[in-house]
Amino acid sequence: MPFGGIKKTAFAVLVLCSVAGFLTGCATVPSRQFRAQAVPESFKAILQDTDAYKGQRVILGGYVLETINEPDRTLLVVLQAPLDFQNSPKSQDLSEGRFLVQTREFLDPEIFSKDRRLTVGGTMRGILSRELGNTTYPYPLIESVELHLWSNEIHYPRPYDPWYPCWRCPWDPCDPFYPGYPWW
Amino acid sequence: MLGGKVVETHSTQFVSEITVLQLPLDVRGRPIDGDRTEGRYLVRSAQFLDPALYEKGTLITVVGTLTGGESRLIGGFSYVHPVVEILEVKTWHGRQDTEPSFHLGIGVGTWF
Repeated sequence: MPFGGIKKTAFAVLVLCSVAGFLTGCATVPSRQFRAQAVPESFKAILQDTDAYKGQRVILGGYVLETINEPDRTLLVVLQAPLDFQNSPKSQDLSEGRFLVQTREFLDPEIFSKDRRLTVGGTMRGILSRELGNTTYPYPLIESVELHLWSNEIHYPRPYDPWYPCWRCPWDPCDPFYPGYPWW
Repeated sequence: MLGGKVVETHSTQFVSEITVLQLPLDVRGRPIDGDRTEGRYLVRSAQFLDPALYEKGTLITVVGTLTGGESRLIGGFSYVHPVVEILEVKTWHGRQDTEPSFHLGIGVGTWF
């Protein structure tokens, strides 16, 4: 069996790859169980007929605008943003409106500070109108079941690497003046 | 020994009080900045602590005596802060306190 060794190595690589894939595949936001129950509706559809979604489970995301601590609950005012394939909110310029997240827990405003990105899986509770400037804004209110705050990674200056970030894909923008450089 | 990030500092000549957002400590006693907080506490000293040195966002490590709890409002929520009397306090500024950074690279090459 001249190829026995190679076969063994190939098998080991395959096992390693599937283990790695399994580990990363598990980290989904929100959890798999929740996603199975949630209605895959766009924010626009929810805005148009919020009452029809009352009691349904939805997944929304966006940027924290304000954290309001009340005696028995915390309200998060969120600027909605569409979600990408990992359910992480995209640019806030794509926002279609605002919504409120309600939770019985105390959430510290130092952590849930302005502009933090979050994804929430929760139950639709209907419309809650609050003042916004000189007008009242009808916020869709979501009771949080699963709340994920995306990390604000601290980017330390990295050692000079001439191929960064080009090694990932040759068509990546390498220009340091490209607006998203070097994160996408 | 507790660590954290300064939220607010109030100082008078005779008493100073810092509101701290608790953070876990690394092996050398330096707070690890991030979201892994378990809550807030108050740090009190009979000395004047300059708010310019203990400004918002400063990482500190405190050794002290736990003297009780005090209720303070955060928005409309009344939060019970544990109170710590300072025996010793250290502030961590910048990155010079952290480990030296180094970089290891692995390359794959080919001939043309």
